[in-house]
Amino acid sequence: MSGLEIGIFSVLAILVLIYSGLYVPVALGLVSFIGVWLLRGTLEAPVYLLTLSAANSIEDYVFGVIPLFVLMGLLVSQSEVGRDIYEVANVALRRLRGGLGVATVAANAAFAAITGVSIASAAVFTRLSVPEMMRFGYRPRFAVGVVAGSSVLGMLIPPSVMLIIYALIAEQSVADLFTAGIVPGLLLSLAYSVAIVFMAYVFPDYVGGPDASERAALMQRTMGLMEMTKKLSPVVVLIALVLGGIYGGLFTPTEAGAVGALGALVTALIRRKLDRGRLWAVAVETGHITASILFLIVSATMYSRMLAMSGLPNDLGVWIAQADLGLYGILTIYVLLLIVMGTVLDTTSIILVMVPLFIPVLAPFGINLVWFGIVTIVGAEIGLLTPPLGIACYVIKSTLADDRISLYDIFAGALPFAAIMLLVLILLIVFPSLSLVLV
Amino acid sequence: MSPPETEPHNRDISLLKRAFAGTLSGLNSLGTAWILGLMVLINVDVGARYLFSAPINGVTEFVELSIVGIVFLQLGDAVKAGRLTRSDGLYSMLLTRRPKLGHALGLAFELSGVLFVGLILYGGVPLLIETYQRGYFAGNQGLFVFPLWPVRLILVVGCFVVAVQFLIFAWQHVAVLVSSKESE
Repeated sequence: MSGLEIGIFSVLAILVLIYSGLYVPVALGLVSFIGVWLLRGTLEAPVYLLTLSAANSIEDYVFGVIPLFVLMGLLVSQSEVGRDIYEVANVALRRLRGGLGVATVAANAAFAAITGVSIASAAVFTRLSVPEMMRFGYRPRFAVGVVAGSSVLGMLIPPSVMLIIYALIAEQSVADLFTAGIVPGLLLSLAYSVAIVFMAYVFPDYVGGPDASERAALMQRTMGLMEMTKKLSPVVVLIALVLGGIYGGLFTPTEAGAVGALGALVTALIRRKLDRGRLWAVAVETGHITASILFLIVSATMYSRMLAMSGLPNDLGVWIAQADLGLYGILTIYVLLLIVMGTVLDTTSIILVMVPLFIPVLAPFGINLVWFGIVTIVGAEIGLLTPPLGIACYVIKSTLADDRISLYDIFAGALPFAAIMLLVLILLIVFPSLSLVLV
Repeated sequence: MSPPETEPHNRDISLLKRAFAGTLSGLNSLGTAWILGLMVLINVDVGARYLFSAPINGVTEFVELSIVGIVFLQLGDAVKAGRLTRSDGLYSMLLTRRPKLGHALGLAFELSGVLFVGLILYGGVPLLIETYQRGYFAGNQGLFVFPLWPVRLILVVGCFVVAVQFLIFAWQHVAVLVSSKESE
């Protein structure tokens, strides 16, 4: 077999094995082992690849960002800051039609700016806003759709574990990716909000909403400026510390993670949401998430080294250059692949498999790899909202535990938001400056 | 409560099981404490740098080594808790609808896991010995020096417990397959 064939078979084998349910790192690692074995003809080379990847590939200062930002995110979730943001947003937007929906988006965006784990925000806001929206007459399908749609903001708005993973795989600066996520994140939030208000006016039956008496009850809710300030202050302080610290050049991303985790710890302690047992449980959970993400990165290193040895990315690049598709043609194929894969695989696996394959292909076009990261993440996340395996929808279903709302309702409700994501993605592709303006 | 009287052989096995569970949670606690310690250390460094203009030497190098240490200390417990990333839509459907096929597939998956970490161990043990004998270190001599062998040792121990955990999972699949055969 030629190197090219070995490369192609490896990628296909990995996809089939992952889809069948083999542990993702095991699939990446073992197939890479066999690939290198076939390419080199001796057992020494692939053993060397596995061992050195395990020992050295994560031995880098920048990988410290993962445990620290995961710890910060879990501590923030523990301190119930999400509830406070949502309450303030509800009061502030109560006069708007579709206001509770827009409040969910706004609170999610603010929450996303202090956490990096998006599954956390899907779970938090399922518990907070779905019951609240249904209490005020919104249709269940619309309510879960809003939560599903806005939960993806967590991976786009910095800090985000997904942006970190891309940065590590593509060897880009974490700080640059964090910066690049801001405008697209805000743009997507804005698009969601506009769409919600639009739907509330044009399809009132689909959206639902408060009737006269419910509206009156909603208007009764007020909150003094002092109370709002008090509720929002932890968010503002954490954003200022972490994102301000990174952009201001005060901290490296790793340091910002540590400072943010300590800030979140102090917040949780002040609000008495944390005792020793819970702190330990949060730290153990952090360890599990860290170990599983970083072990994935170890195996992805094996995979991308195997790919490079096989020469597949280069050959693919030559072949695509001859096909004369142009940048937009290739990106269209890439995004379609991402969306299809996103419907059955999780975002991390997609990034790990696709990015090492496509970066060399796109290199001749002189694309910006930070912008490419934003495109990749938004593209892969559309799949989070689509059947059969949209993970965000499953998290909502399992958190909700309400038989009146079926998985079908959640997917149907999320569909308009997936469509909006696609529109925003097209904008991001056509106008790279949206992602790069602050970088 | 005293454990039920069993045959000596079974008692040995249950003792082994408890020893293994204890090892996993001990390694996990060590890794957990390490993460919290890392958070404190970096904050102290940042504080010392900005408040007293006195950064701590070697924090960067320590963070680099810590990541490998933390990951391989926690990996066994993460595997046991079912936290290793997998896409289980098709697989869990098979387990309910075609249990025999599902468990046979599960067995193959766990054994692949054993093979994978086994291969890392096969290269990792000689690497550990070489690192120890030659006294490899990180950092700048004279300022601060971290020997590399403890982290390599953690890598080897971590991969070993992961392999054992995969074997335990594999055995559970075998047990289901055998009992379903007997019940026919």
